Amino acid sequence: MADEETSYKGRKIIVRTDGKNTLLIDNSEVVTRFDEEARKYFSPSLPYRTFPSLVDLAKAIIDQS
Amino acid sequence: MGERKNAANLTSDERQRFIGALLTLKRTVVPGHSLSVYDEFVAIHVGITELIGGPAAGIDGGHGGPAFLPWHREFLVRFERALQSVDSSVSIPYWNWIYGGSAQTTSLFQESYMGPPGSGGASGREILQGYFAENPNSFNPDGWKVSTQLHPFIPTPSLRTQALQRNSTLNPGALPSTDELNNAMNQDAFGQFRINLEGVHNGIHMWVAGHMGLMVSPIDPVFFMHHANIDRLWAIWQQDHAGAANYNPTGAGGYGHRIDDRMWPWDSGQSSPSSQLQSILPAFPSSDIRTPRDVLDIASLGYSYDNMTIPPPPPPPRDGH
Repeated sequence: MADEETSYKGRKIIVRTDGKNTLLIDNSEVVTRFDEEARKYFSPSLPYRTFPSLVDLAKAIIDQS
Repeated sequence: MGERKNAANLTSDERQRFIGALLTLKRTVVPGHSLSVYDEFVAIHVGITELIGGPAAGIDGGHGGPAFLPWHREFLVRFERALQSVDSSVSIPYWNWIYGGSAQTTSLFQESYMGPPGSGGASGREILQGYFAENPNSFNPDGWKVSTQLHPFIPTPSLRTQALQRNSTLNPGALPSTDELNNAMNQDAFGQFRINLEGVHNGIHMWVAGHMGLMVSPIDPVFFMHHANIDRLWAIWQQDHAGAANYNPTGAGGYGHRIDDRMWPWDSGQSSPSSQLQSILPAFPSSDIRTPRDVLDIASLGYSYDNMTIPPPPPPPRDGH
């Protein structure tokens, strides 16, 4: 399966479908975590918000930066 | 360890003793350590999210999973012991944010207690008055400064200040509703209870915002009052759901979340954070091991809460009376 690539506010978001759900923003890897019970993603850089997808998480990180 | 009381109901003397112990931990540096005792707790809270070695590598052992509750329970017990090493009469008071705009919240965010909302600096969110203002004042001659050694762990550039930051408006109407809380408390299954309660907890962090919105959140001492209330709510839930069978029965989460997993940093060195973080953390003896099973019963940990109920919210005041 191909990587999922999109852009948001001029920044490139890539979700690698390598089985590890690696997230990159402008080719830099973002540390992410997955709450397997809640089925939500979060990140140490945005720890108190949860997201249904890595792309949604990436957009929030971009909004915050 | 004592009785944890509603922060809004502390006597003036109890408030002074609690804040006095906080300020002492903030200015006390153990010989050979690089951070104050207080700031070492901030570093530990960052560390649980950034483990890179051992069985818990890549796993947040304190958030987004079952161990959210036991990890923070143990974290608060350790912090409370530190406070009591300064003043044995002190326990962590809990912030009963359930009732929104009532005095249970508004009385805390005052100059003479936990400080007002943010109002200064480039961000407009720096705390300028009271015990937790950066600059020395009549409340705190040392000032409450965010250690620059913690700045590398703050991802938001505008929050890499020495001043504590919070939202400039703390709107009580935006606090979680009683219905939201009951949606957690009425769950019989631990998994959904934890998910819902952690969600409510997240909202409180974002309500205060500033440093409370990041993994360095214990920089704001309100963190401990907030988590004491979360711990109290878990203890209330446990009254009807006691015992090991009511902790993570499905074995969800990675290492650290299961009932007999060791919780970093009380894991005999099993897992490890980055060397940058390691350099500012205190050392933990190899015999210092804690698992979720060890912290299921607050009575066995030696503390209690003054109120183990969630009564209905008080009626709103009537106009003209």
